[in-house]
Amino acid sequence: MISDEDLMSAFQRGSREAFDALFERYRGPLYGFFRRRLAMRERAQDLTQDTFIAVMRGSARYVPSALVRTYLYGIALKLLAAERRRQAKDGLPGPARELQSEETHDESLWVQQALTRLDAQEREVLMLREYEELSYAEIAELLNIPVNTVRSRLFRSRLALKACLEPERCAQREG
Amino acid sequence: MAYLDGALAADRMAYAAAHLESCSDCQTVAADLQSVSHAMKSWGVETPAIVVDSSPIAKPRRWMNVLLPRPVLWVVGAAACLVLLASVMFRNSRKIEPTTHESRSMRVPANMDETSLHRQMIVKQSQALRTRTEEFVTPSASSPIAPMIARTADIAIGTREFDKARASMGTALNRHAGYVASLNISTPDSAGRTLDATLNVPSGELADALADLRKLGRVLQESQRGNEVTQQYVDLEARLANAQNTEQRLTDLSRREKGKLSDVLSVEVEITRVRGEIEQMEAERKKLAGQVQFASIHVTITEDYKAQMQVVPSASGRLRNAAVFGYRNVVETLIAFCEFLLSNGPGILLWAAILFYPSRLMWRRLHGASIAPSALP
Repeated sequence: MISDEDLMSAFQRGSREAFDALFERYRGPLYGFFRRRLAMRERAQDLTQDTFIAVMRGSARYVPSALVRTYLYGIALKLLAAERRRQAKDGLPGPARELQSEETHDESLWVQQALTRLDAQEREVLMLREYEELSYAEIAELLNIPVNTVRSRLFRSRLALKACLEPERCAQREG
Repeated sequence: MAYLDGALAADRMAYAAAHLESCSDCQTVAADLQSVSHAMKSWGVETPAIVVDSSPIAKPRRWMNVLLPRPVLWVVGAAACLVLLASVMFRNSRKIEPTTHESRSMRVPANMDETSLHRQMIVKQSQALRTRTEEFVTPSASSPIAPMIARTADIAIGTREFDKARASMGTALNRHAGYVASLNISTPDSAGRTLDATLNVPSGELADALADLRKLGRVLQESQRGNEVTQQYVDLEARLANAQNTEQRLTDLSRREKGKLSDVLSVEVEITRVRGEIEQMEAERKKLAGQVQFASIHVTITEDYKAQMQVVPSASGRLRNAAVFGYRNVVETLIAFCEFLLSNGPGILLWAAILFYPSRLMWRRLHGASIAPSALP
């Protein structure tokens, strides 16, 4: 299997197939990244597309000093921050409400509600670890924080989520 | 926690695993944390409907809505309609036929949705860019342009003083602010030396430079040519301006439009292609301008050949040479014999030592058998 970095190098040399392969490889994960953080599916699709457009336009400036995966999620985080600023300016629901997406399944609804109660920084670390499956070092690089901070935030956020999930489970059982 | 995520070093992983087996509190914490991870995995996400090529994706964003509020857009639109209407009336009053083809082509079919319209707009814009810019930037036949002539000259000179001619050529070149593009000097056995050089001098200095070169010796051959490249240069300028306009519009289009990913990719590819053409044309223009700015002179300077007198050696000299050759032959023969002994002598001695006794034994037997009966008393 060709590595992401080799695909990116091939794309820098003008290979359309390499870009298609990268797109196919990260289309789902990046969409999941935005979908779990934004309420509207269309915006998640738009931002996923914008991420690849940014990669396309910045391919000439890409230097393989980090993993392509980290590079992609770095762009996605910046786009997400810009989207949240725009939503805040337009008076749309904030991140706490965004997590409750339009179409939620019963099984995951209580997880989403519990996640909204976490601290924003701890929630981001936890989601990057659990859903994007990034390593501690990758999360530290993306969020520009020390690795030990990642460890502590991850531990605290898991315990907090555990505490938040208990009442939800009880309510679900009672219901 | 890092142990559960597999983020510990190998030795610490082993230590943590050993501790976890024996510590019930840690086992409880680990089970709780694993249950949290397991619960989070239940939040799945549907497959995105995003593809590079064919499938439709989200509707294009109305970038104007982002830039301006909706009421302002209405006012701007109404003002644009008024200006358009006024311009059409003005053109009719001047009895100029309107371009009905363009107005017809901008009509939107009733069954066309916004996404397909947007795609067609992108494709039309990128296809029409070249023709539109070519309409705007075309070489004007009426505009007076000074003729651009690339001048070249050939001159062949014969001289008896080759070194002096070469030095004078360098002096003349410096005087006229020229430079040597190439220079080659050959010295054959049975002919005079030849200098073959290509000199570039400013076009205005060509006549004076040739006059100085004629002073180097006898002019054997001279010719001049002038190639007018005005039309070629103007065409190149126009094509370059068109390509630059196309690049600018494509860049604007790529910044402005956020539609289908394949369309954006096509625009980016087109920008790359146009950029390559621009760089190629700029290099060609630079080369053309250099040819006009500097005239090229091909100079050949040939030295007059002087045949050398062949001197016949005297009899004493020939005898002396023969004695030297004889002595040299004797010495070389001795050295060759010594070399043979040194290289093959040890091998010969070895084989002689090996074969000596068997040979003597054989000799004695044969010799003894033949003489034994008669020799006995």
